[in-house]
Amino acid sequence: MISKSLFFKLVKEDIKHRIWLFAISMLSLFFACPVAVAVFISESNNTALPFYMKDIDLITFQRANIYKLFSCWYGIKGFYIIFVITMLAIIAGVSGFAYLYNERKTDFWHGMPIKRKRLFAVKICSSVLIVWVPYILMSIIATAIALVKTGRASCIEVMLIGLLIHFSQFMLVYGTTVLVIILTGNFVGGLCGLGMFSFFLPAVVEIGVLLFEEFHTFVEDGIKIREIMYHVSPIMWVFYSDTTELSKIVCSLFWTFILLVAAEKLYEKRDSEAAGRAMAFRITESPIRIVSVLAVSIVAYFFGDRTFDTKWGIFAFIIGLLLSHCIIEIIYNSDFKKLFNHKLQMIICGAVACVIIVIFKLDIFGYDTYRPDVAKIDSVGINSYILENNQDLYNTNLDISEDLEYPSVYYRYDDNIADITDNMAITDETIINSLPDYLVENDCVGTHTKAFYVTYHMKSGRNIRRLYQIDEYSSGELMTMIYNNQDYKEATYPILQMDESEIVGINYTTLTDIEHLKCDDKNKMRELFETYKEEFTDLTYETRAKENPTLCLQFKDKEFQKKIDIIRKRGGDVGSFNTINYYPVYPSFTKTIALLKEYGIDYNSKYEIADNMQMKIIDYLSDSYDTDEAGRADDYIVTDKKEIEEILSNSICTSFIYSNRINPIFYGLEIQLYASPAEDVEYSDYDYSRTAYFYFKTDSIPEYIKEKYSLTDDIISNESE
Amino acid sequence: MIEVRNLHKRFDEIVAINDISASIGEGQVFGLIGTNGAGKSTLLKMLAGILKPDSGEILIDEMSVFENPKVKSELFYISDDQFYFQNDTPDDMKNFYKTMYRKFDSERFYHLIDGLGLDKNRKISTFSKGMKKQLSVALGVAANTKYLLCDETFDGLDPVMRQAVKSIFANDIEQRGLTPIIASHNLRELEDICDHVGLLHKGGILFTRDLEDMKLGLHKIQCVFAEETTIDDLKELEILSTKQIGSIYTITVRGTEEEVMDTMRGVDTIFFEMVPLTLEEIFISETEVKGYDIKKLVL
Repeated sequence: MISKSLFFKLVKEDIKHRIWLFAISMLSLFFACPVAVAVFISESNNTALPFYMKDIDLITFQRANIYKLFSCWYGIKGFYIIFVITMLAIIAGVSGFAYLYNERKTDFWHGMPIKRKRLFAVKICSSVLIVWVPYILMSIIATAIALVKTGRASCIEVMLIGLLIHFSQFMLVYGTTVLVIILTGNFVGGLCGLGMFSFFLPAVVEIGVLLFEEFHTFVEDGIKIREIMYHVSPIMWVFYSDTTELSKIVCSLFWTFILLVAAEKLYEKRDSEAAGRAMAFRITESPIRIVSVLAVSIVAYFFGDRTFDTKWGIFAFIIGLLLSHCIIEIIYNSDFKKLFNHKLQMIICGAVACVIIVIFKLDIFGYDTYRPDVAKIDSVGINSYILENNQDLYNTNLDISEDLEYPSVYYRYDDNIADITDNMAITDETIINSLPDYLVENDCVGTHTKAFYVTYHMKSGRNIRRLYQIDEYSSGELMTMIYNNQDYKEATYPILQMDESEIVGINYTTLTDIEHLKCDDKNKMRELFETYKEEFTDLTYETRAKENPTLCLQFKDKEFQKKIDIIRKRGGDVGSFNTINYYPVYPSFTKTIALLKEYGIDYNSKYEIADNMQMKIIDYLSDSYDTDEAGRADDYIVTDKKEIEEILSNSICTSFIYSNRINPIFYGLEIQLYASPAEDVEYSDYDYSRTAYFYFKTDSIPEYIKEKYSLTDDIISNESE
Repeated sequence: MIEVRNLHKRFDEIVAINDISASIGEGQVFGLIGTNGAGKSTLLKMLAGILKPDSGEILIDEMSVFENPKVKSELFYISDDQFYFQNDTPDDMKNFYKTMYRKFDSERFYHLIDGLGLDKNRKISTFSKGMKKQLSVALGVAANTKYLLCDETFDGLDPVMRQAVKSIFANDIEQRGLTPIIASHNLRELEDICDHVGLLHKGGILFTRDLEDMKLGLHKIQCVFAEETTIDDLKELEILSTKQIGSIYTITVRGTEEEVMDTMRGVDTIFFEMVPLTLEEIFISETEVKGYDIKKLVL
């Protein structure tokens, strides 16, 4: 029988016998807390006031900087403290229950007149105290330093929230470690167990995604699916899950409770004689062996097949199967001679792994060749580089970082293609009727194939997603129909959803400049917006094949402008806003061009060549082809204005923010146009701000260039995209 | 009172304890004899509540021992290789056990380790094997429990210490009715301390018997027969073994002392005397009857 006071006496005894861990906790947290804060202060004291900060003095800036660093350090993403806490949780778990790995120690503890349940509670309680007393102490010291240096009482709040988050994370890792130790009987087993708990389920998720991505026409968003792995492993959850503080605390504590209850129940059932065995419960041996052997053999095949070919895949599969099974057997039995125990199970695992691989590789269930019944299709959603190669311009947002004191800008790619296709509803019957057959019949792998994502919205309400690889230059008619479809355009280009009343500013970019359109008259701005929208809506695939834009417009709505204003007010760099949301003005957009003229903007469909400009053509083919045999020329410098103009008329500018990639481009030769005098050519190679880059259109390389560089049809085809 | 009923314990394929039933009364010194692997340690660990029986039951003072702190607080288990915390001194271990065993007698502990010549402030890790054994006995005795389970406790002790430990046990048996259960593979170690023994072999118990009862039925006679007398004249006695060195016979017989004396007086001898039987000899006699060769079972 043990009373409450005895319980605490036992906790004290346990702490006494793990005083070394207390010392490690003290030392590591001393460096992770007060010393780290002292370093921030020292660094911040040496920081000069940035030139763009005009509203605050240096001391205020430095104090704010210390506070910001302190908040990050103690925050949900404070990697170093989380790392230290995680390590301490593992060490505390192992040191508290490692006696279960030693028969002598197990006999000693289990011979004591105390219930296992109580002993378990004693160990948990002492472990928490061993780590958390030093942590709280060090945090108080660190916070006191930060408080004095920043003068902000909110440092205390930051620390308290940080402590809560870190406590929940500590408990989660600690609970996992304890459960692993109770399930295993020696250090090798424990190490493997911790590895299994931490990485097995994420690995299963990754294997599943890879199998689908590599062997199937799979369009689910791999990145989103991979996020599952952050929720199926305690370590991944602690370090990588992107969630709110409250959710992290609640979820971590909930799972800690589950893990510790499971650990305690298992501990009560655990036989003392399990000490020294790899697995404490024999019943767990087979399931772990089976799933591990399956996973390793599939990954091994995958590695061999992707890195070399199918034959190597089969070889890697056999090696993976044998090695994983034998190593697990050796670990289980602590006996090398038992490596082929459970042979039948190994053979069955191999067969099941084979079946899984064959299902994916040979598309046994017809996933890839699936053609939905067109009569049952309600609409389709489509996304492809073939139709629009400037997706980054339109599917990217710039957000302001969470710290509103000194905001910085970061990119947020809305690259969830599944969402785009899910939200698109093309109802054109001709497209719907021809699309499934076309995609299945033209799905191929080649140099010029591009991803083609489709979501079939079935009348039943079900969405069926597929990904095909389609040759970008052999799909003219259907692509024309799709591009010209208004449903496609509306879901692809955010500008078509914008409200004219929201427009507060317009920027434009030519081949050489980015400028703000000077116009205070909102009605005129809206007129330009409406006109552009109308012409852009009418833009056809055929027009894009014939023309190339030399000017782009950026329409800023209130939300967009608000972000710019915040950054500008705080002295941040707003340059990032000039890299997105630009829409092309094609030469045939005559109404838009006419309105632009009213603002004094001349639309030049050609690059203007000044007298002192020079051009250099750089041969990139020599890396891929034998230069001597081909007898190609060196880099070719062009100074003749007419020749420059002729070359430019047959090429596409890749320095321009918008690139119209409907026609193939020959990448074998790079054309550099320098806005510099002749004598500066040597140096202007490095002056990217004064250099424009062009490539020949594949179908309009001048004959003399072909001759000069010995360009055969094969070379042109191979080097074109 | 310890009662063991139909106890079974397997370790994977190996049957460690096979259907053992026995009872150990209070105040007895119970010796558990058996070769290595006979199941002595397993039985002791089950008695200590460390191992859970696969089937059968262990009742100590009519209560089950496994996961029962109340019963376990009346038991102290001394393993053949007792665990001590690293860097701990005897005094530290005393403090630990004092927390675990409410009746732990610190005075007695200090008195014992003084008597055994152990330094209470020296690190246990620097102790010899024998010193560690002595310390475990001191801790076990000072814990003031009703039952003391000793696994090969006398192994590694020198003869003087062995006698010292035996006298400590004897004192506690007398003073407070301690019941030591001592497992050993060496019969000679238990010779002068046990009053009840159980012989374990291959997980099964061959027999448990009161040593005095066993001795009562067995007698060793040394004699020299007169010229016309031979050993065949002792037909009335159940002779278990005979040894002859020159004209001196050493005969082990079964029967009451009176029967043996009467028979010996009835035959013509130059001299005869009853000599005490060693435990080993008793076991030889007992196990031979059951068809076992004791020399293969124990030393």
